[in-house]
Amino acid sequence: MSERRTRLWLALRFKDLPLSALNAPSSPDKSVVVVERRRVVSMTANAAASGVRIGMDLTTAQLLSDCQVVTRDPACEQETLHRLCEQLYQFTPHIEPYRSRETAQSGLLLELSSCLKLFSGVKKLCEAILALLKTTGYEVAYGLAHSSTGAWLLSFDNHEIRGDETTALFIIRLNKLPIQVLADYPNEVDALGKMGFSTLGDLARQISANSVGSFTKRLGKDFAEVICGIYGIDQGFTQASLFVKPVESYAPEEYFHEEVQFDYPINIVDQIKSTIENLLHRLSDYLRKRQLACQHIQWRISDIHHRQEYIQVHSDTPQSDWRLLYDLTVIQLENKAIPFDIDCLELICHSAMPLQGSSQALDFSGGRKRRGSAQELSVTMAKLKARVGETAVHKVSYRDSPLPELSNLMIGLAEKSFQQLPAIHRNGLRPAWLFANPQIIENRQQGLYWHGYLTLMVGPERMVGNWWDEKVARDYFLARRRDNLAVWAYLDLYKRQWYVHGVFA
Amino acid sequence: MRYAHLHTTTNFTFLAGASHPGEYVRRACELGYEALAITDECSLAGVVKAFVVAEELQFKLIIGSAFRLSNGMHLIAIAPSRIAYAELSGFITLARRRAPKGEYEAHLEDLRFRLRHCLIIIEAKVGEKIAEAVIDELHKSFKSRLWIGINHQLRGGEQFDFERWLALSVEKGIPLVACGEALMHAKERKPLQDIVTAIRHNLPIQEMGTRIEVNGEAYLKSHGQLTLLYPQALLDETCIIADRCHFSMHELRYQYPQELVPATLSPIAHLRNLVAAGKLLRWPGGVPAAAAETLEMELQLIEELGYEYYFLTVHDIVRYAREKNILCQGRGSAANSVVCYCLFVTEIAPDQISVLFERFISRERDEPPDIDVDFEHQRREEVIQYIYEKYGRERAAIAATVITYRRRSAVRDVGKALGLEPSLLDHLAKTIAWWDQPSELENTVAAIGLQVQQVLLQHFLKLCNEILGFPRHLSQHTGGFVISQDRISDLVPLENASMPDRTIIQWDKEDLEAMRLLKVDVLALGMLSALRRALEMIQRYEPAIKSLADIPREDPATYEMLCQADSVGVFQVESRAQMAMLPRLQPRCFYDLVVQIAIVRPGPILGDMVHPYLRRRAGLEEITYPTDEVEAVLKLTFGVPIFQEQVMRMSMVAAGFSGGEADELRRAISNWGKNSKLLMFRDKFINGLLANGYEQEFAERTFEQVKGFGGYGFPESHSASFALLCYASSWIKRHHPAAFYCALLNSQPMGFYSPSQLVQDARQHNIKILPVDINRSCYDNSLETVIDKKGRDLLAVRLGFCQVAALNADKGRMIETRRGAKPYLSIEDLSRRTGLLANNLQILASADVLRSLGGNRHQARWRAAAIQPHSALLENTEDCHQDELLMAAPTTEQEVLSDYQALGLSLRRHPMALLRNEHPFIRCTRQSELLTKRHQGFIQVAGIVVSRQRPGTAHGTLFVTIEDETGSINVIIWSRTQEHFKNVILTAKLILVTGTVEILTENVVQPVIHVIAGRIEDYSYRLAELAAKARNFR
Repeated sequence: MSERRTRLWLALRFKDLPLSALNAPSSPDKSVVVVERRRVVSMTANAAASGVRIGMDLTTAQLLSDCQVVTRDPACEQETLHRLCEQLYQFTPHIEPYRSRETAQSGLLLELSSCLKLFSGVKKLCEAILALLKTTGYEVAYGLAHSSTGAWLLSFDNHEIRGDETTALFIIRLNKLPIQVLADYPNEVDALGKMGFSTLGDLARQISANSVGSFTKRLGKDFAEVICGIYGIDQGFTQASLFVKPVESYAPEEYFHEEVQFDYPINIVDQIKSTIENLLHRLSDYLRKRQLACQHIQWRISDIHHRQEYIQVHSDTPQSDWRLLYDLTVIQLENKAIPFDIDCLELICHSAMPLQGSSQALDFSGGRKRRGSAQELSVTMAKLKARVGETAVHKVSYRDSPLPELSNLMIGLAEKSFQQLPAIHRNGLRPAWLFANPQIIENRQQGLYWHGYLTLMVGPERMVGNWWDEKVARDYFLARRRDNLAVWAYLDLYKRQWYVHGVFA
Repeated sequence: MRYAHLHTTTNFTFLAGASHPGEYVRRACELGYEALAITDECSLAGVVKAFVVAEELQFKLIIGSAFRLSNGMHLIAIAPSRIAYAELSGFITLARRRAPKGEYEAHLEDLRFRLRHCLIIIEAKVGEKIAEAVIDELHKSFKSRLWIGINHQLRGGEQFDFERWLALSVEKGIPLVACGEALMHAKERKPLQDIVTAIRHNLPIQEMGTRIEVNGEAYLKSHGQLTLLYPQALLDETCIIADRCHFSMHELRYQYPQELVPATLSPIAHLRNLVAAGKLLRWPGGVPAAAAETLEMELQLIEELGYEYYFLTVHDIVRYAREKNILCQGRGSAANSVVCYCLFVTEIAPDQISVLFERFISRERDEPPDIDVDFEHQRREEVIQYIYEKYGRERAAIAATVITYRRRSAVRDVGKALGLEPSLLDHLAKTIAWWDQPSELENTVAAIGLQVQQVLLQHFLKLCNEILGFPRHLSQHTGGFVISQDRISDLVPLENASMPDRTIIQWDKEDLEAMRLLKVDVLALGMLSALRRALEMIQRYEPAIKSLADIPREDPATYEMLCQADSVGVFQVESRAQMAMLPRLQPRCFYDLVVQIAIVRPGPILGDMVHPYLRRRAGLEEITYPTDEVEAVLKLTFGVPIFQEQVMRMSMVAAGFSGGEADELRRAISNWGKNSKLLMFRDKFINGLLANGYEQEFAERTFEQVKGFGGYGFPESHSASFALLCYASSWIKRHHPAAFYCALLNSQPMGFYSPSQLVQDARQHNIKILPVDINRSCYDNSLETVIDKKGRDLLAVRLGFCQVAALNADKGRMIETRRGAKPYLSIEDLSRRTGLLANNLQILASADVLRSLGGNRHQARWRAAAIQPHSALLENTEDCHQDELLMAAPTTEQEVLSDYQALGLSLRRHPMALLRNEHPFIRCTRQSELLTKRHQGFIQVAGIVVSRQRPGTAHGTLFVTIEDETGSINVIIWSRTQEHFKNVILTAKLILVTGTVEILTENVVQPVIHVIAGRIEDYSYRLAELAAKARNFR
């Protein structure tokens, strides 16, 4: 075993990240468990007190604690780690996220050797890092070692950082760890257990006596490399420095943020239009230079009393040009009264995305027109949504249901619609206009009356079902009113009441 | 108004129909229909059940089937005559055989040539267009046998569509007929119909959309409703079709296979010849007079009823098995007859039991005799292949078993179809104990207190009960063969089984009985395999013992062993209940064994016959008989009826039943619980007794005893067959224990006990069990001679490679073959000679098989893991990388746990011995110390759960057997205690029981000890802790 060069890694393991990243709303008394593939991966303290354990199946957990169940969201965890990287960037540029393949453990690996002087030594640096993390509220376990994997493994053993740790000490600490800490290699750990190995120290002793090759031929190259990585073992390459894995540097996220301070308070929309245009021009330049596009921008307005308000602008398609964003912003501003005298206007764009190279087919027969009209529709939609609100614009889809009122559905514009009308509706008579709420038909002496007397023409078409929810039994008829209006009427067989459900064209 | 319903889908169109065939027939009869056609989709699986009810109601049943052709067209084929029925059955067989199990493939082209006599109805589907050419072709082919069936279900567009079909009818001259499909007998079944449809689509009902029926109109309607739906002419047309149907299921005459009889002889002459030859072998000194008389009576009855071929068929199968040295034994109502004894179908001599002639064959009912033949379970396939080869696949097929919904499957499938939470269903299904009543489900759901929508929950509970007994799919019967002279497909359709090259018929055992078709049960019995293996082993060192017949009869030492309840592994008397009974009943002769086997059954127990029998046998109670006739019947069992035959005899001698009536009574007893026919005999039975001068109290008590037999009474003939094997296995255990245990281990899985328990028992009998060894073991467990401390040769059992669960059988055999006489020298040598790679070598190392080559488990595993695929080019380089492992040898705990993981047993210490000195086990009493405790004293015992039994007769009591390092402890858990500790009882592997010990010493050879549980604690986690480095403990 020989050392290559001295590096110092701090592993930060966020113990309950699957739970804390979700920010699941719950009362303090309520137990919460996070599950992945129906297995518990994290839980609150009161759930643990009820007997819930990591790896337990969901049913058992529910029976033990009557808990609230939330599903693990890796994207959310990634986002949290990303935010933490941003915060820790002030201490070191060398930050790598670490996510376990087999367990729900994840965290960050920080290489500190190049930053020690700046922060007056490892102890102070680590204290500063941990102090910062304390403010985030995440429960963190840490480990310090000369290798990144070693540091990660030592995070399971909880040693205080004294500042005078040496590689030899790290190795002593690692040697004491049980092999089960190598949780990402369950088959290898099982095989090692059957050969009598119980600690990492056993592995180290075996390697010292023979060579890493003993493990390479038995457990494979990948696992042997992991062991080497943990101990920083030089595998006998002739130019070892060429094989040293470079430490990754963290690149903080870029975003656009510009502001304009006004010389005097603004309270009329027209007065800030030119400023808006100007800021959007700058955004446009920024995006174009970086080959980016964005779908979402945020305006922040504030007054001299530091009151703030945000205006969110969203486009369905990514934009790198300022025009549509300008139109959408202006529509929003015109729709609402300016709440205070504006002193400062800021434009923020967080989530820019790489510009997608779109190919254009050689189509001279109107294809371009169609694309143009699709573009127009998308612009119109964006403007419509800016004017009436995101949730107020829908499209219609068919739904496979035997009940007429359930056979269509309003869905969001982005969702895929179902275009196939179910066969029973295709074969039967269906009105051009189906009422959202069926209209009651009066049962007069002379017959059925709905704005005029009705004569039943064709029917019945019987619909009985939905017994598991709200049971339905209806006989539908085509009926004609005296003014020749054809309506779709039905008799509710449970209530014995007649209704008009639609009108034929 | 006359009307015949022509399109009925029963629940034998699996997961489509929502009513039983019988329900349809009863409803059709109530509604005054002229006839009802059962038309399941490409199936005749439900027709016999409908036929049985139709016979009962004297109602006209029409047989048909519906098809969805490959061109998308739907039609119904109806069999108006016997020949048409054969065509239809053949057509279904063709369609089913060319598709995987559960599916079919029918083409329009097949119709014309294969259905020359069937009536065809084209289903007029809404919106469906049929090409004119197809209509013309059908019309040309079927002419006046073709109709267009109008299915009016009040769906949208039907009225307009009807005009289209009417026009087509007029244009082509094809008559229209009312042909409304029924998916349920009454509209109340609509929710169940939706649910089975959802199960079929594997979707929750909420997502089914229009895949479920839009309304619940597919049921049998009244005449008034029909008149509103169809024009009169279409209704009249149904009766025209019905009137053309003259076929009745009665016409299905069964033809026995006839090639067994030489051309020059009549069947009875041939049978008599065979019996005469067998007679000489059985009684070389001449046939006893009583047996000769019975034999002649049997032969006359066989001739009179024409069952010669049946006996010849069974004889032929048994003869083949004997030629191939496959152990077999017949049992059943006719198996223990003198004829079968002479044909060597059974080994039970007529003087060994009191065979009842009326049980032989019932003249009144003219039902086929019943003979089940058990074969060695590992060689039964040879017999099956012989039958296929001899009669061909067209003439021999296996009966079906209808797999029906039971509580657990109902909960899973209905719950899933209702969209209930999978984890809830999983929990419910696991929590439902096998003993729970249907109402328990509601209590279980209530106990969980999970938030399930109340309405949905109500539906769930109702539907779970409603679907119970609904057929789910057809499976293969355990061995019921139907063999016929002509093609079987003329009688009943065949379809593919899930096993390759197996075909099953669409009828199950009950259908075959109802249709009086011959069925020979070719069954598998593990004990026969074990006995054959044991005999082979014994023969090697004691050549006089060649077969079961060479086993000395009535050996006192054998009975003495049984009286001590030393019966682990012995056939039929190894269960907890049987072992508890052995010291009480104390069998001393063969007939005692016959009684022993029959008495520990629900019938005698529920009929309260056990204790009177034991008291009378022990001389503690006076034996009285009301009359001499009753005495003659019950003398052998001290005045207590134990066997079904005795009930029949009683009904004959005391209640005046005829032989046939007595047999009917037996059938009613057998089916008690499935129907209430037994109660129909009550008055006749009691009145008969009263008329013959018996007292009312005696009559009532006797009938109660008869009722006690309901469903679970054991016939003497079966019991005698089993007793024979019981005696043989006991004798081998007593006199050749090494061969006995070795044979049992080689015949696993079978019996009550796991290999681990058998090994424990063997060691308690001082049989040395040797570990699996790469250079000594064979694939199977084998006998090995070892020398004991006194220098004597002893037989020991050497465990074989078959015990290594993870090792492929072929690889295990290869290790044995390639070894030959030259032992393996090293792991590398083993790898080179066998081609085994690191993964298999590590399996062997983990099982400690390589100890002689590679040192301890750790070292062997280390060395095995380094083995690389052998290359001839690197012939001499393999051993150059010797890197020694530094790790210490495994501890005893690790060794024991690894043994269990790899072999399922350990020859080292018992896990309880390892835990014994730890809290709380240190306070527990060992099994060997139980006898020293005070009767009914407080006690704590702990052990690994070995078995759980809850006999239906035990009034809810659960019997759990736990095992510690000194033996097995019997724990009794009353139902009240079960409620408290249900989860522990169902799931725990290691339990600690606090309770009282009961030690019964009166009138027993060996004290009977039970622990009555008061509290049960789960300590399974201690096993996991023990496995600090290993994984689960099995």
